[in-house]
Amino acid sequence: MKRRDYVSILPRSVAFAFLAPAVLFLATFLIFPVIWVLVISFTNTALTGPAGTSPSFVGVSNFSQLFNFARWMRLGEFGNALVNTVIFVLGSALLGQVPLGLAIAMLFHKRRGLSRELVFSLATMAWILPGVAVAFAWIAFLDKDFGNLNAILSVFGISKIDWYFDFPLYSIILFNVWRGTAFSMLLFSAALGNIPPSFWETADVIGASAWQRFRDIIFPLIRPNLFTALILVTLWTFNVFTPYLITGGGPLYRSETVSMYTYRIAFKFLEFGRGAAVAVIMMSINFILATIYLSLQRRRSLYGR
Amino acid sequence: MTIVPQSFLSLQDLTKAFGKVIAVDKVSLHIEKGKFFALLGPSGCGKTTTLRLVAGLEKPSSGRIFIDGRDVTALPPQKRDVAMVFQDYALYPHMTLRQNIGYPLKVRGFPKKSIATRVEEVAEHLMIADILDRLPSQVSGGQQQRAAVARAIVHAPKIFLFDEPLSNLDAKLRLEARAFLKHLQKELGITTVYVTHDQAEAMAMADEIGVMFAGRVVQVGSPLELYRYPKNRDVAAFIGNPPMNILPGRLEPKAGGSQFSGEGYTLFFESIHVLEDTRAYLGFRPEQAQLMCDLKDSGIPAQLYAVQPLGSEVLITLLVGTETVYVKLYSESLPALPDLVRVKVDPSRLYLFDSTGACIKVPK
Ligand SMILES: Nc1ncnc2c1ncn2[C@@H]1O[C@H](COP(=O)(O)OP(=O)(O)OP(=O)(O)O)[C@@H](O)[C@H]1O
Ligand SMILES: [Mg+2]
Repeated sequence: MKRRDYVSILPRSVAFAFLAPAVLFLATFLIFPVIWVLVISFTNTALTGPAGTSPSFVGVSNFSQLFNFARWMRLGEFGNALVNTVIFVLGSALLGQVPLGLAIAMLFHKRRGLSRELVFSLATMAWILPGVAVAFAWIAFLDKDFGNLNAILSVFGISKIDWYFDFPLYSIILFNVWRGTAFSMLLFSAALGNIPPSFWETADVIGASAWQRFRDIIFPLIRPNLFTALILVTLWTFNVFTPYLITGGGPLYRSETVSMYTYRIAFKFLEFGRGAAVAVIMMSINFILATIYLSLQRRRSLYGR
Repeated sequence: MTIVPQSFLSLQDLTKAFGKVIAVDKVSLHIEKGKFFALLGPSGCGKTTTLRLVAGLEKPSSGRIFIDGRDVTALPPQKRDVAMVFQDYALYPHMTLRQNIGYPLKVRGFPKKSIATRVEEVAEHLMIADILDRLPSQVSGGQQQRAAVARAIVHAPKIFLFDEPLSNLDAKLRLEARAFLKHLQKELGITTVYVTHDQAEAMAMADEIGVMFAGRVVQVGSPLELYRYPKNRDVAAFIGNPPMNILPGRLEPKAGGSQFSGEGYTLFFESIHVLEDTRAYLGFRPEQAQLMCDLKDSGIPAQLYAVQPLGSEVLITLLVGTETVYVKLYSESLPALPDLVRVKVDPSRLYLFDSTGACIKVPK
């Protein structure tokens, strides 16, 4: 679109004056910190030790340490955290939240009433409650001796499981599915609500089975929303930190994700240079995902759907 | 024991309540095989709900539905062998017209080859064969409508259900589509229920019309029957273009008949007998009235409001008291009319409705 297409109601200079606070705000709290992180990722900045007083440029050594393939898969190293993160994202976002959210939305699409209200309220509550509170509840829920989960399982004759010790990664995956399914559920619920009732009813009159209706009609119509959900949920799950409050990344780093790793290096070991290097990698991955998401959005608005 | 009805499509005392709202109230209809039946009525009278009951998209609160001698009341939509065309056509936006039209066959598991042949055949028939590979968003409203009809006829259903299929088309296309649908229906001979709030559409297309008000079917008849012999004031005021003029007044017994008195005029009816002075309504069709310029003439005194030339005829709007009255004159030239005129109607062409709205006198 050419600039001519806009009708200007204000002189340019005034427009810039209005923009200035927002630009200043973004610069102070977003652009500047990002550049700063980028810069110190090439230094050995730290709060303690010899580098604490006189940080110096170390080139790409922070990055090459992270990707030191001889040892990066050991517990507590970056590769281990990366693999855990991939499993965590796959399990809790791609296999967990998105399909589960879609299933719940489909199930309750035509079923208004108490059960729907109940399920939607509970899911939404799990989503919006403060992380510290729900993390504490989950520590209690998963406790080996007194936890509700083992109590429920014992009804089915399953003996006590030490969730934190034996399945730390699965535990936080389960937690994250519970915590975040509401987003996909609400998104798909709105998407299904946008499909004209006559589409469903035509399928009914034609005689399409539930599966045919889903495959041929519903799925193609909500495919754009599916992409949105997949990318956004992946992005959030990739960055999420709340599971740290449950397992602390342990035991022995077995449930440590990249965000926990960053936290540990930067704020527990106080090695800001190394921490910044991981942060730069995280930001790059986020940037790629966000770019895919935005370009999909743009393409969709071009085609009007 | 239920008695299986003779007609092809039968609704027996069909009722549908949504909570406290009774959308369809004890509707009974009997539609013969191959007939084009129009369900006509104002907005919110329950036409769509009736149609959806026939399709099986709603469950009736009570009553039964028979199709071809079979009680289908408890059957789901797909077992009723009907096809429905919705007001918005409900063409699937991600499927080409070809895929849309072929979809009912695909669902029924027909082999690909026979689907392709049948779709071509139907599309040829409806003159959309050359645009089959476009998406619904890439064709005009009229073509979308044809595609929706094509999808409905592709598997030769027993009954066709239409819910205001022409309301999204502009006036010119609508006229074309009326003729097209009527022709197609006659040719295929499929029993059709057609819902509309447009009386002209119902009159033009249907073999038989059921007029609905507030959930009830008030009258069923051929277009001409409804035009000539409306059962009550509502039907009379709904049918015709413009509809019948209706003027309030009082009816009182007089020697040898009764006398109707309206705003500044009285009329004597020989054959009508009432017991006492009551409220009543006088009715006459705009096309059966004449205008007299001479004020000494007898007739209904009226004030000229507007004159609209329509080509072969002139539509004149008048005020009788506070009531609006239409008169249609078949003349191409504009008549020169004074401000005050008299409306004159051949007494045999007059209608009378009693205080409840029931028709007590029709033209001979
Ligand atoms: N699902 C529903 N829930 C509650 N009330 C409904 C429902 N469907 C229809 N109604 C009510 O039933 C009545 C009849 O509705 P219906 O849609 O059958 O009218 P209609 O004759 O088709 O009107 P229109 O010409 O405006 O389409 C209306 O009062 C409407 O508000
Ligand atoms: Mg309707």
